[in-house]
Amino acid sequence: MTATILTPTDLRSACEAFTESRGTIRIQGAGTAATWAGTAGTADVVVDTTGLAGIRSYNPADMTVSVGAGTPLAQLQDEVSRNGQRVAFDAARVRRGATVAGLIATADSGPLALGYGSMRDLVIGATVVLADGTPARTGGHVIKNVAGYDLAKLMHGSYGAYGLMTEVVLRLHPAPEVQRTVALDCTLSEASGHTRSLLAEAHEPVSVEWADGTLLIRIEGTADGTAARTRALAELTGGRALSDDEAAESWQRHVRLVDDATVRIGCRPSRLPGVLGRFHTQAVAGLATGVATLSVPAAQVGDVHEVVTEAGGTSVTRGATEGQVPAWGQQPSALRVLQAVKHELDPAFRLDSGRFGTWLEPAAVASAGTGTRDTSTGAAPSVAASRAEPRERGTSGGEKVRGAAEPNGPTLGTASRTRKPTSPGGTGSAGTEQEDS
Amino acid sequence: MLDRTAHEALVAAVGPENVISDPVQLRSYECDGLTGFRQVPSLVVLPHTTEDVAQAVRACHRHGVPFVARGAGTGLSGGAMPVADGVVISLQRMREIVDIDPVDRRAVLQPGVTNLDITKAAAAHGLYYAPDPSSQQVCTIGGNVAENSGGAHCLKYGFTTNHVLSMTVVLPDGEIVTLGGDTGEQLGPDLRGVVIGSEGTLGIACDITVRLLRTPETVRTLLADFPSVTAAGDVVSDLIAAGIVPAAVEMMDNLAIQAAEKAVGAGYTLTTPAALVVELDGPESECETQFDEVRAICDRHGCTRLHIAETAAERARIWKGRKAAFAAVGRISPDYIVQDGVVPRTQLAEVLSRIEGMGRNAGLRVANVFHAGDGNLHPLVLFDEDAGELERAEELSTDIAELCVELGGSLSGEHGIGTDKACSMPRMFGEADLSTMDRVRAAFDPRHLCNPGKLLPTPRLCGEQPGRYRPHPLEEAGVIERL
Ligand SMILES: Cc1cc2nc3c(=O)[nH]c(=O)nc-3n(C[C@H](O)[C@H](O)[C@H](O)COP(=O)(O)OP(=O)(O)OC[C@H]3O[C@@H](n4cnc5c(N)ncnc54)[C@H](O)[C@@H]3O)c2cc1C
Ligand SMILES: Cc1cc2nc3c(=O)[nH]c(=O)nc-3n(C[C@H](O)[C@H](O)[C@H](O)COP(=O)(O)OP(=O)(O)OC[C@H]3O[C@@H](n4cnc5c(N)ncnc54)[C@H](O)[C@@H]3O)c2cc1C
Repeated sequence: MTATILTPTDLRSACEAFTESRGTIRIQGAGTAATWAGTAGTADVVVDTTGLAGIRSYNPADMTVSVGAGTPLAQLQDEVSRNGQRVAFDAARVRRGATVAGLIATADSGPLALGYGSMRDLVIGATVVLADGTPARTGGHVIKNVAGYDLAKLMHGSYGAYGLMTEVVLRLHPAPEVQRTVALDCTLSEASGHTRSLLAEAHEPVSVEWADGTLLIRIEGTADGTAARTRALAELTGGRALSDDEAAESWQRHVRLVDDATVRIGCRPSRLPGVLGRFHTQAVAGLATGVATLSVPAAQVGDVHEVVTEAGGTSVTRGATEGQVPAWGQQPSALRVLQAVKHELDPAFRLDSGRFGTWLEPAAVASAGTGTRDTSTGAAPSVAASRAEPRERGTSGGEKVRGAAEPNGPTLGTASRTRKPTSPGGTGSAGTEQEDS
Repeated sequence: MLDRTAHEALVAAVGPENVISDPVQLRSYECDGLTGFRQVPSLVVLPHTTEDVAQAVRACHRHGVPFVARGAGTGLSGGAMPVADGVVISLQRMREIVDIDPVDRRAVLQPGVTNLDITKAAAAHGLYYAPDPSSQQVCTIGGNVAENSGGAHCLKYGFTTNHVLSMTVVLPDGEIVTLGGDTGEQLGPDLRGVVIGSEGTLGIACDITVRLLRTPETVRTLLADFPSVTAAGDVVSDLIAAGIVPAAVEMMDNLAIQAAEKAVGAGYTLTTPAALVVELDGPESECETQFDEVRAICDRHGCTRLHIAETAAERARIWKGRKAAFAAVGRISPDYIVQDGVVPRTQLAEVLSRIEGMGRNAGLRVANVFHAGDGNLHPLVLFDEDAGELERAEELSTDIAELCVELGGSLSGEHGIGTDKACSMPRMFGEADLSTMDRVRAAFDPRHLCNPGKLLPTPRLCGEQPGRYRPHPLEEAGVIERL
């Protein structure tokens, strides 16, 4: 059976892709992560996000930008670099055309994560279309904002299972004047030792990566400042300051190694040498972030899962693996909540990511009792029963009074005030009738 | 009142010595830092361990009793205000610093540990915990997680959510789960990031693992006076345009300066219309170059006095003035309201001049002290209740928050929605946005027991009629689209 491919270009057509189609849906970006965390199965409909492209609003002075979710990040970088700005994010597959939302949905990250975090730390707002066609906004256009739940986080790592991102608002950073790299050929455990001593100093590296035999330390800043720090770092580690060309080449090699990897792992940085040492294979290790990728044959993926899980870490496949190799090493502790969220946002299971093994399959979600299990008795009332419960508990009966009493505990001065409800508001019931599929 | 079996179950959960039921003692839990909203709880339990918390929550779940987590009670949006016939789960007895790991640079904390104590414990290793709310001496890491708290230095270093690696969370049915992990890698969607900033409505955060940063090599701080608030605002814009990311940029206007000087005498100029505190930190070589640039930008905008802190003591003094400003306003006005809103940084001058005009129209003074670097305003509306100004003050304060939304910003940058602003949420979010948030809440808490009535508007709080949908101002401007 061939899937219908829908290519929405704006929010309206994105909503229609859900409301006017039937069957299961797979969200597809540029296809740069097609075999990560398993391979997506067949779906009745494929929503291609690449039509949701381009900058929607960009005021360089605010250092925020709003883009169509299917915009390739590399393209966005080009645009903002004209104003001396950047999205401080450098996952390997950006160069292959990965889309902004695809990078969010796969919770990807690159060496810069040490300095700037991953997409989750840079996304300040998003518009998401749920499986029933509901368009929902979260966050906003300002870098500091705590109003409402941060649903962009829910999309981070969701592999298209919770909804379709149509627009994303990102925080930008100034592009550094200069980047410099110090390199040193050494073993992983030597690199780990160097990392410890350099992190104890105040050189503030933005990336510390061991790329299969070479430790790469990147710093950013002013021309003068980085020159001084580069010397200090070279001295400290016995490494060498690379020329710009050499640095570019070393980081390109890093990208290739990451692209070739079959498993991505994360564990406490101090445990990485021990874990990776068990597998005599090509590897890249973020020695300060604890994130590493390695290339092992399919037959060994299970062993990697086991060793990493033992070390308390996470592991997931990043390439096609034949046979029955599970995509994920360990199961999330809060799987039941992930399932309950799936049930709330996509009760008809239209969005089929195929990326979470059996975690979010209908049978698993149903048997999990979606958040209503009474842990003291083990009873699992059905979802329908729990949703039918009256909701009037969801109100607080705070009586409004005014007085001089201080809150308990704090000695800081606090404001005393009262507040009347301003505009009338209220939300409808959360349950939405779902089109069948 | 709790029914007898529920009461007994809760006492059994934490032990009788960890329960408060005396009406007089219960009263000290009736509100948080926003003292206008009050509700005496039926019972307060004070667990010592995560398992105690889980037992207490299970008891609540079994008996259908609503519960509210409480840290230090410094919240400014009524988030920790108890619920009628509900229980307060106070985390004040869970104050252990479980682990400081200088190698992997992280700390494991019980939720009642105060923000500042984390840095105190890490300092021996040359490390610190970056988010620094002004209330850091007393507020708890659990409360910080719930509010996604920020502080003056969050401009460069990010907010609580950027610093929490993982946490055990007691879900609203009492199950203990771990969200997040040892690294930024995730097993599926980022639930940790959803719970952080959820204002205690999705569960109770217990053992919290945070990242620690190395103490910067150099810190440079200056205090600069300007002939107008606009000039100071222009400095902020130019700093950003120059690609400088200061550790902090704080602005105070004349009223706020007068108040702070009266309270702590930190050496601010009493007559200046506006002052900026700019702090840079990092490797020495970087800091010095950029500091020169900052000074040049200040001069360009008519800086009338530039004071550079030469010693740690001088720096502390500048910060004392800034951090005292909230409370100090009590010295120049009998009553005041602290507002918290955010605008895009390019709208600073606009919002300040509009606030001034609104204050003039209302016949009330508004003092401004705020995190200018990230556009987070804290207008302080001054009034005299005895003179019958309360209502006007509240109206003005609300109008200011909603003005922030109109200018493309947010209702709250750090104090949260809580009880206080729940009814303003429809100004910022449409019905579909809010109902989606409600769906997520239902996934965590289908029985609505966990801090109910906070964050999202409810008919009981805001009136039966759901707010009529109003297009978001950015929608009207064609910047965002709905349908
Ligand atoms: C050029 C090309 C060649 C292909 N060749 C093959 C082939 O040889 N064999 C084969 O079987 N298939 C092939 N495919 C299909 C491929 O399997 C699918 O593209 C793949 O399942 C989806 O890629 P992706 O979306 O994971 O990659 P990405 O676009 O990187 O997306 C990664 C993840 O993010 C999610 N996501 C992306 N955008 C959004 C969004 N806006 N909102 C929410 N979630 C989002 C996706 O659902 C996915 O889970 C090809 C596709 C392309 C484009
Ligand atoms: C003078 C003053 C200055 C302030 N300055 C700042 C500032 O600079 N930046 C800033 O961001 N805030 C500031 N605040 C607001 C406040 O201090 C923060 O919101 C703080 O994080 C609250 O912590 P708390 O321990 O007092 O929490 P509480 O007030 O006790 O609770 C706040 C909310 O968190 C929930 N909660 C508490 N503990 C937990 C837990 N373990 N698990 C789940 N939910 C929990 C409560 O239910 C409630 O909804 C300031 C407050 C004052 C009074």
